[in-house]
Amino acid sequence: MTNDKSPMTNYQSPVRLALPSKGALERSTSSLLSACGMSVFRPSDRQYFGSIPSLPQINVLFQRAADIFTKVEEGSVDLGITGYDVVCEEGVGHDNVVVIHDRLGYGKCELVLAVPESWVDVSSIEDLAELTLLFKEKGKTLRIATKYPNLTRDWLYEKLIVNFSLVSVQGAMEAAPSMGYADMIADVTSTGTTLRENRLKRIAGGTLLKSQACLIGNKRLLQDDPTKLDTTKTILELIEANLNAKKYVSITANVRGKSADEIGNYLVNHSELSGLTGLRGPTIAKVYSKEEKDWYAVTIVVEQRMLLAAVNHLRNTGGSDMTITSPDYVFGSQSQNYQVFLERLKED
Amino acid sequence: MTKMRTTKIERVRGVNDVLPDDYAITKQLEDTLRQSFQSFGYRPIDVPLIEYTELYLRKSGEEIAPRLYDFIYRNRRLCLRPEFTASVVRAYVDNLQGVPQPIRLYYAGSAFRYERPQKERYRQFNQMGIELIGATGAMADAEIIAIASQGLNRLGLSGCRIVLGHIGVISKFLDNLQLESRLRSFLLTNMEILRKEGKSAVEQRLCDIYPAFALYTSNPQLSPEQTNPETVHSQRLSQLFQGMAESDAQTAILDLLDSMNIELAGNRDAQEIVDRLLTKIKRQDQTERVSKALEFMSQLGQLVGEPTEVLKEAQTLLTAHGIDDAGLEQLREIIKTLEFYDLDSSQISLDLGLSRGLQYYTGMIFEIYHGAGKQERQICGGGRYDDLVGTFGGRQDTPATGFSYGMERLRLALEAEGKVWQVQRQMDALVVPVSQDDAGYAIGVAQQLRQMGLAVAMDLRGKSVSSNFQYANKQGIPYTILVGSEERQASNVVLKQMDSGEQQQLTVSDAAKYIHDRLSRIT
Repeated sequence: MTNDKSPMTNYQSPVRLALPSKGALERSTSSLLSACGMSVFRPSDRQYFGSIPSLPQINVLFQRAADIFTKVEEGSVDLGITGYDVVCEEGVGHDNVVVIHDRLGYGKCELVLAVPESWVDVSSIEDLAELTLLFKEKGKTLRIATKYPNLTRDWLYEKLIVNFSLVSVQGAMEAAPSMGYADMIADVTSTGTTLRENRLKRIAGGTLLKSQACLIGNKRLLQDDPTKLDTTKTILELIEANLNAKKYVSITANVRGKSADEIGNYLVNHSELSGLTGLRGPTIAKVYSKEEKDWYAVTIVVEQRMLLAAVNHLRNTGGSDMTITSPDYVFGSQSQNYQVFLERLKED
Repeated sequence: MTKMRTTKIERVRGVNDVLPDDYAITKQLEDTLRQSFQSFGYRPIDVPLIEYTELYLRKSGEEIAPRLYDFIYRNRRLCLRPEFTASVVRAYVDNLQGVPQPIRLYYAGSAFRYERPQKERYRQFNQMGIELIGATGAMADAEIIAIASQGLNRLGLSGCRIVLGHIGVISKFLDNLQLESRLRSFLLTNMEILRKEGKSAVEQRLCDIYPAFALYTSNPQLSPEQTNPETVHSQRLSQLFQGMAESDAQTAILDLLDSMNIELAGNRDAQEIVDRLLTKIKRQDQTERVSKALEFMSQLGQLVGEPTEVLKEAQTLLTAHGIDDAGLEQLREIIKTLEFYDLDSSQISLDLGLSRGLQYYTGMIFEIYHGAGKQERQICGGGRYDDLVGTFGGRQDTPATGFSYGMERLRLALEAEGKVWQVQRQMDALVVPVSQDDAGYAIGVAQQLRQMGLAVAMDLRGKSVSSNFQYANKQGIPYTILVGSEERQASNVVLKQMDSGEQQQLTVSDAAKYIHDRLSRIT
């Protein structure tokens, strides 16, 4: 791509991108970006600065996932990747942060309510609602330990549950009920193992939020600087096209037939499932073979889940020698996320 | 390259600055209402801006809680007052329980609610209102409504509609259904939505907080056992336990849990857990009752209009549901009493679907509206709250009733009606020293004039006489008083009348007298 002497380095001011510095989120972020042609260079694990050689206008900063929101909010970085749960929690009242892409496809977890297993009388959110009233009658308050006070409070209020108090806890959340400084918890879980180990259980209707990694930006900084907006668009387009590509496979088959038209018509008109013949339709090209003259190469792009159906359809059409490849990117006529993002950016 | 931008500090979203001209008008409005309240023997009370959040949660705070400015400061959970009634009642319980009743109080000030900012809705807003503590009956309720109405008359606001309702009607129905309190409070707060957006809108919201209802509405012909798998289990269990004595059932459950190796230790004791489990098992499915309630509320919501007609229809509906008509009787009496206040009876209508947001009301409730269509706004609301004193730990149950005006909306209603309030003149004269040497004498002159009751400003910046004239003209100051060395020596001043340009040399007291005479002739 570009090297240091290319005109690309003639940018205005660098775009500062904050990425998670360690843990699973760091690894997944790094592999997503390299899959999108934006491999991150980090001199060493203990370095807090890095770069993306293919996009030299970007300065990378490594931060704790929990701090990335704050950095973006205060404007010390322009863009950041962090958990959607953090964004929702910290974002309350901060109008200055815009979510650019909310489903990066990793770091998935759920924010849930969990009660001690011994509460055999509590299996749903309604039981919990009743329990808060029972507590109130007895002059007690149900104490919920959480690192997500804003989300928890607002969600419970929406369910008309108001008699509770929040206990803020840093770390070892799951132990709070057994240690006695809270009655139950609201915390993120991905597999539920930690909850079970601490003798806690989820309750029906008690999921507050489904979260995964997301890309966020500072509204004001992006509004004010068209070059930053341009870089954001590049990142977003590459990520979107790469994530889209994961949904598709490309199939190339040799098909015997009288003419390209005949094969094409058969393929399009004899499939029972829509979408079997590719995003728009098959691409058909003549195969120049020494022995026989009536071979054609047919290429279609279909959704991953339709792979076998598409293969069978091609077989029925007389296809053989099928090769399947996964595309690295699938671009549409324009980036959907970018349009949505521009709308959000305009909102006050 | 780019210079660091110094950003200006913004005003917090949803709150307003009240600038001098606006302030003057607001003050006049308030003074008029104060006089009106005082003419009924009400006395002012001021209560704190901050209270313990508990004050608003004690009485089913489901509706108000999400909108509270609620915070923990130095380990105390506090909030900004979202309204006055709770504070006034707390103040009564704190300080006034020994005072002969009834107690008549009025208040004025800011309240705070965290709401989505929108047209005519602010996060800090002003309320003025009264509380009448220790009086029950139609006479008391009628007095409240009459005061609310008279205040508006005194402001010159006409075309107001008084809408009367009674919370007792709907709450008796819900009492009879024995609905769980969260559902009950949901239904009460959603009465307005039921009416404006229809039953299905409320059902949708209900599904959100009460998932069992979703299954029920999607398939109403199914029996509860079919719609909710949990009911199958619980029915089997409830049959099992119904035949047992309470204590036997408890022992059985404890044994069962013990054999399953479930330990009931922790922050809740085993007894409580088992008790609640038993109650839960025996509890009937609520969905059918909820939909009964919705049906009744829809019917009730249609009882709107001319009092005699509505009362007649309401009587029929209540008899059909076996609810006593005490509430209707109270409304009848209140309306009869209001006649003696010379209230235009065509202004009054009944609305039995009225529920008001706040849930401390127990009897008559009312709202006053101004304007029609898009210009319609609620400017006043209130009602009877006989339980609140008891809830806040009063020595004995004490009946109470009251109302409040929304001051911003009142102001808008007045403007909509073309009632333009005059901004009173802020300054009578500007004193201008001709040179630096005259400044001391000028201060003395200004002080003398002030003592003689005039509002007088000084030129502080040593500007030329002509630029001071300009300033006076732009600010609408009617007189300029010039003092130069000549005046200083003669102990007098030059008085210039700004509109005519006429100038004369006078002593300070003559100048004051002259201004007083002229100004009083104008106003």
